[in-house]
Amino acid sequence: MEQTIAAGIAVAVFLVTYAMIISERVHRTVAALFGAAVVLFLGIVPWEALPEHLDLDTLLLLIGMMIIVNTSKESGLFEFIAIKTAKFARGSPMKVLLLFSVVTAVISSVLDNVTTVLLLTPMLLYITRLMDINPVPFLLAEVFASNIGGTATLIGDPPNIMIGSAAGLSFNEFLLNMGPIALVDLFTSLGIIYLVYRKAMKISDAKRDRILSTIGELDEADAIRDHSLFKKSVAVIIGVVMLFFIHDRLGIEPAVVALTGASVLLLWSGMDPEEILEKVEWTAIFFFMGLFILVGALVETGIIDGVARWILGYIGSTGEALIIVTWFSAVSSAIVDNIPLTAAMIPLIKAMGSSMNVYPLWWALSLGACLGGNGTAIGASANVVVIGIAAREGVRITFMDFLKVGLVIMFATVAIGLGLLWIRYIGV
Amino acid sequence: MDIFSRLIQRKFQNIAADRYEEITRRYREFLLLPEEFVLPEVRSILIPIDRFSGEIPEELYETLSAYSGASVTLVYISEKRTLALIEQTLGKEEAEKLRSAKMEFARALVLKIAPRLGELGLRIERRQFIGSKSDDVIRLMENDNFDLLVVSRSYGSEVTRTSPVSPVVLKIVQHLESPVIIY
Repeated sequence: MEQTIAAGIAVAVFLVTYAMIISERVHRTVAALFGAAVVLFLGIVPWEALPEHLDLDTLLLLIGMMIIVNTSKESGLFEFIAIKTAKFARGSPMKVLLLFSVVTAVISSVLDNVTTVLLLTPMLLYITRLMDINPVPFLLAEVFASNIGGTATLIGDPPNIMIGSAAGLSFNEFLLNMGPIALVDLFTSLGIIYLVYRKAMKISDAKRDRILSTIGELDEADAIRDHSLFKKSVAVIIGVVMLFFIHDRLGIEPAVVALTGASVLLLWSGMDPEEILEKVEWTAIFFFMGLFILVGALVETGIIDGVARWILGYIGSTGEALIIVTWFSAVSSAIVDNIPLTAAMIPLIKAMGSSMNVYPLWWALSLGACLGGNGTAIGASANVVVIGIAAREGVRITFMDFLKVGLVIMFATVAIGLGLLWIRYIGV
Repeated sequence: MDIFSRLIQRKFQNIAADRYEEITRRYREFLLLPEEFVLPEVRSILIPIDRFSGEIPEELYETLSAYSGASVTLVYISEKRTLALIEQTLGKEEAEKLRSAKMEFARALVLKIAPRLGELGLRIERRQFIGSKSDDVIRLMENDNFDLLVVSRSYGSEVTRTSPVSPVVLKIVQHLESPVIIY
């Protein structure tokens, strides 16, 4: 096939698939796989080139972490954490806001954001019902905290996994570059939530006593369904996190750490592997595979190189690129799912590497892709999940409700992150 | 903005609906609101008894003492099918003898239990008839609006090592929506 026609088809398939993903009329996995099938069928991505486009590091890291999470979940570990957090808050709305946000951010930095909010939101709704208080600020804080927490580490959010794998960045590099930004941004977002909703966060002392006695009767031990698995899960998760800290010194990939942890936990717990592997989100894995192939088509046809050259024609320095990549990925992430956005941006930044230092740009992409999701209700999966859960429990969070707070938080946190990156890599 | 609500619902359905159902089911096991801590009011209790029931344990008397003032109906049901089978094989006379013996046994059993329940401030009513142990208990619970069923795990037949409750009890609890105490 002639290169120009192939490029035209690749762009058309890419745009149509992304439109299908945004509209959500067709399941995003089906859309991505269909687009991938078209470019493979037409030979735009040659079969031999497939392994280099399918990012195995990302896929295996995701699978490994999903196995660890699904096995640990069976023990009641996360419900245990939720009850403990509720008890520590001692019926104070401010403490509930602060502690749940911090716990959400910490768990999100290790697990995927959707799993984190799925596990913590029921507990948060329960506490707000006990407090007889508007749950919206608490739910929004949880969403923002999960997206911010996910920014902090290599394994916190799929875009970071993809960036880490593509750029060969280590867990510690992520933690040192994005960790401080996430920490500052977390408290910034909490401050904004408090300023906006402070009047809705007051309860009487009598009500607080009632909450204290009810929560006091909760026994976190009730949440543990399997004590042996609970201990093994905690041990394996700690071990895996420790290994992540030293994986670059050991010379092993993060995916290997996750797979090792997963296999150790499966072997040690004696759980039925079929049951656990069934719960791996294969739809997400195939979604990634489809995206990698689609973006591979743009790489194969030279589209990515062309766009990179065009961008470089307008950008004079790394500083300019840092600003453009950060804000472009942030604003786009608020509208489009950050996974397809990151998949498209990675080869673009790689291509720009031929004529400038792109190391700071990886952090700019991570910052924009992860924190841009806070901008709108559809910006990140965690937002959709929390709003969906709230709707099911009779709490309405409209698109505009979210937008009013989300946009402020997105711009504030991205600006702070960009400022910190600028100081670090460009200088004052 | 309705378009966004629909979009979010579609996305939620695709991302996490099933997982959320599973998680909330787990939470429901141990998360109760204060109003859910309150015990349902029990004004009438049905206690079916037979020769398999065995002694009422002390702990059950203690539990029932919480419902002081409620009425307790002690019901003895002679299995119609058993009597019909005896009549077919051994004749009407033998069947009548067995029916009388069963009724006598029921009276003795009620006399043994009733005073103890009375001491707890419960009002005792007695009933005995021929019917189906499972179907009639279910019918009584539903038609007479009893608030609580108290039944021995071996009511209706012996329990086995593989089945901790008798088939009759199993059938009853599967059909009832009201609270049940199995002793």
